[in-house]
Amino acid sequence: MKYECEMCGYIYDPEVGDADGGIAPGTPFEDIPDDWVCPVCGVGKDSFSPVEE
Amino acid sequence: MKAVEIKPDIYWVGAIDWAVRDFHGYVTPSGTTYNNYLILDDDITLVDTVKFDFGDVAASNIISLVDPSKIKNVIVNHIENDHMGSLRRIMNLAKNATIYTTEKGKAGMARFFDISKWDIKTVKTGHELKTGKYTLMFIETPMLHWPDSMVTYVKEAHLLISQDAFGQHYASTERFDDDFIASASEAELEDAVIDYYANILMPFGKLIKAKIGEIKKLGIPVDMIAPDHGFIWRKNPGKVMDMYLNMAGGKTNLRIVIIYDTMWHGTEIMTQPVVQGIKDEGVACKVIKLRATPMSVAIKEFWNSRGCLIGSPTLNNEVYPSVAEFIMHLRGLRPSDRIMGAFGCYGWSGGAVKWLYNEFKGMKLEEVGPGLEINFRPVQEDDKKCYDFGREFARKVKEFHKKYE
Repeated sequence: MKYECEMCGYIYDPEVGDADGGIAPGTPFEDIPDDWVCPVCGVGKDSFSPVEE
Repeated sequence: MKAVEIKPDIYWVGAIDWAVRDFHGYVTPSGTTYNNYLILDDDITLVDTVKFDFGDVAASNIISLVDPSKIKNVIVNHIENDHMGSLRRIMNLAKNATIYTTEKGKAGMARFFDISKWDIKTVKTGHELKTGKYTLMFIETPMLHWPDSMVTYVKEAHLLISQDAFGQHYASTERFDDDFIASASEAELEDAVIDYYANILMPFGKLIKAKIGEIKKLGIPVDMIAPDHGFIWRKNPGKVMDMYLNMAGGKTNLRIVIIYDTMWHGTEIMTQPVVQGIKDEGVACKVIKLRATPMSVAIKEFWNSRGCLIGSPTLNNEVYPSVAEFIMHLRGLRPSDRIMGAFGCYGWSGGAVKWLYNEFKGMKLEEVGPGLEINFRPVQEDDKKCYDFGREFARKVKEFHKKYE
């Protein structure tokens, strides 16, 4: 499931991951470490919400 | 204005912009200031710069205190033009200075300047820089209000240099909160704080609560907050932190604002019995006519009120454009803890009121539906409809407000 950053709109797509942040493609959002931050704006995981499809 | 010492060997060296009224689209009826700070320690350190047009003013304040070529460190807390605009000018005067900023700050800086010859060090929260008797500690504040943002805490001075946070757009000869309150009023100062928060920080309440909590948890004493705009909180820094926590926590006045526009006065005429209904239910109400009022004032009044009624005629099946502009501003500001309603006149198919309720749903705001629509213009019988609509809305606002008390 995709997750959207509430602060800047960046969408985390588990199929893509976040290479610069060390998150491999295929990583579900829940499995991302707690100290990971939004690659666009730098806020924490707690500012992300699931994207209703 | 001349440099002002705010703490031992720490000086305000900024500029006053009395004339600015259009601040990238926001109206600043009282102008603004660009504050930056010079620390005259073993390593001379400049914290932030000023908007480009005022580079000379800040430079001359710096030069009045020190030979600028001796500046060792330049801290860039925020890369927006009104803070970083004079950086190249400063770096031309301080050729050997090292710049300290966040990673996103450095990346963004490269879009404004040729940084290839500058020595730039990127910092994270907790990074300390000793300047001599003082130690600076940086605290990243992502999205307060840009990705690059950080603040600088001067440990031994208990001074927080907070870039935009806690600032106000207000030009004045006074530099400090207590001096301004003595010469003007506390209400004016509070209004400027609220105006700034509403128009710039409204989306970031969650981050504000977390960041103030983080700063309190660090246990660092703060007895002065020096923002990059407006008055320095010398007497009562706790007050502005409390105001921010209250606003971020959803607190506002038990008040209603009607924000409307009109074509042939039909929607405008509706507002009158609506206001009477609200008032008779015991709630104060303010009425804002768009196109006569700047958007940033309408946003501030929205933020100052628990309930908001939007009045719009329908034009070509759409909501009236100025109302759409207001809603667009509001959408971007991601409001919460407010209750909405809509009304307006229409000629044949209508559409404005339906569009508005859709927007309220999109913004996940509480609403009182279905709204009130009147064909062409109110006739005598519509007086009661409008009055009852206002009264019922005020009832719902009072009910909704209870959870914030």
